[in-house]
Amino acid sequence: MRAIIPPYLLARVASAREPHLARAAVAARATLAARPGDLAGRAQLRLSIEGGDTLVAEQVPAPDRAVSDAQQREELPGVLVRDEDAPPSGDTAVDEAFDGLGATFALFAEAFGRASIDGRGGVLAATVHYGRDYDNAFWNGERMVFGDGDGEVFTGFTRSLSVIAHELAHGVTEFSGGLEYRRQSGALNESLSDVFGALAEQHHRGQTVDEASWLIGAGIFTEAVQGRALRSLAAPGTAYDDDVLGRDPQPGHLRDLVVTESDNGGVHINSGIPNRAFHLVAMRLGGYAWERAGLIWYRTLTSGLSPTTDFAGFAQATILAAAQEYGDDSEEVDAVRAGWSGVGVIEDAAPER
Amino acid sequence: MPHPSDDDTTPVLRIEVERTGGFAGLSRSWHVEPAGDERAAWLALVESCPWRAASSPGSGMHGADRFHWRIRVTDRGDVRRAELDDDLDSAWRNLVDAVREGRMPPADGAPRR
Repeated sequence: MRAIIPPYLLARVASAREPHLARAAVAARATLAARPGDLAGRAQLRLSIEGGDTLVAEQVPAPDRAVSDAQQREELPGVLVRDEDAPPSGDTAVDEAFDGLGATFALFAEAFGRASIDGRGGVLAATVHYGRDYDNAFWNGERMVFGDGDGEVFTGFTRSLSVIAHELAHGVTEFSGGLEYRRQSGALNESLSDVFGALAEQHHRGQTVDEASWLIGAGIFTEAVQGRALRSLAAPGTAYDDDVLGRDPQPGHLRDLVVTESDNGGVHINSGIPNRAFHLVAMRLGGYAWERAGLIWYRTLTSGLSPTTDFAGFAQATILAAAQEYGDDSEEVDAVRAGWSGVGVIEDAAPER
Repeated sequence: MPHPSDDDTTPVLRIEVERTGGFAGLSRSWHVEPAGDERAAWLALVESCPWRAASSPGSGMHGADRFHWRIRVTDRGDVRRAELDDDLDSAWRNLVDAVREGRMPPADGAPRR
């Protein structure tokens, strides 16, 4: 069973003091009282005074995190070491994962009104210390998994909030209907994770589009590597240039689309194209990227995309989402169009069809 | 340094491991060309792997950012290839780890993890 009225709305109605809402307030209070604790996930009660004499009780969604330790084996889930009510564990990777999941939860809840990965307040499950010298972080369909890195190229993968949020966003994409993890739909899947990864960091730090680094994975390379991060949304192809790793292979324009069988058809390579489109949109709109550009991308993701959507189809879906949110003639629609034409996915100054 | 066995017409055993995908999207590769005394032991390691059962990547793995592995063994003109997801079973893992480290696991073949 799924609740139709979100708990925070019920709480607002329950606390209403206007005479004409008296019956509604009683009904809302009864509904809240009858609500099973696990139905809507965890919540925090936020109390505030409005208008000087009204106490407003608001239920806001809160994360329910569970971080496990694989103890350097490649076996999941590992041993549960920190759940939502536990104090910091003292293990850096465990606590970084816990905090990163919380910061990502906050982006989705506060900017987009989404409660957790599944939209229903479900548990955010992560495993750290996966494998030995394991150079990766991944989403396995159920949980986020982080290796410690080999110490030569990569340090631990929980050191960057953008990496944690990237993995969590894969879960959000999957629960939103999914994007097939191959070629262009796979590159869109990757790009959405980079976009929400960057946004989680910006939201957490309170950064505007001009203040943000737009990097994914800053801080996870060792000092021996010549590179700032793994990917750059602002300038795909410039994140690293290293003797051992080679050069960041990401294109930032459709004309440079890489055709390859590796990496599921280049999902981590061609994601540079939609990544840069998002950056162009966000820069044109300015301010906090999650407020408008991010919301448009989130609305697009949750609009019922086909799992095989390609760049052009996704671009049209973002234009539609912007028009629904802000109107056909809005500056947001113009910005979205300009972003996609800037990377060659739609034609320059595309007129209304 | 010229050496009779160094010219590329000499049949050699070559075992290549390539890892693609992952969060970073970086490809890494490793190889060994064991000769002499080591040859038989490496071949035994290769033979212990379930080549016939090797699945194509992406067939059974859910999620995102997973590693994929490509194994290629060339021996006197014979070429064998396998493409594997990251949930390597113990025989593949022993081979992959040995190639990455450039040396055979302990003689008793005991898995190291």
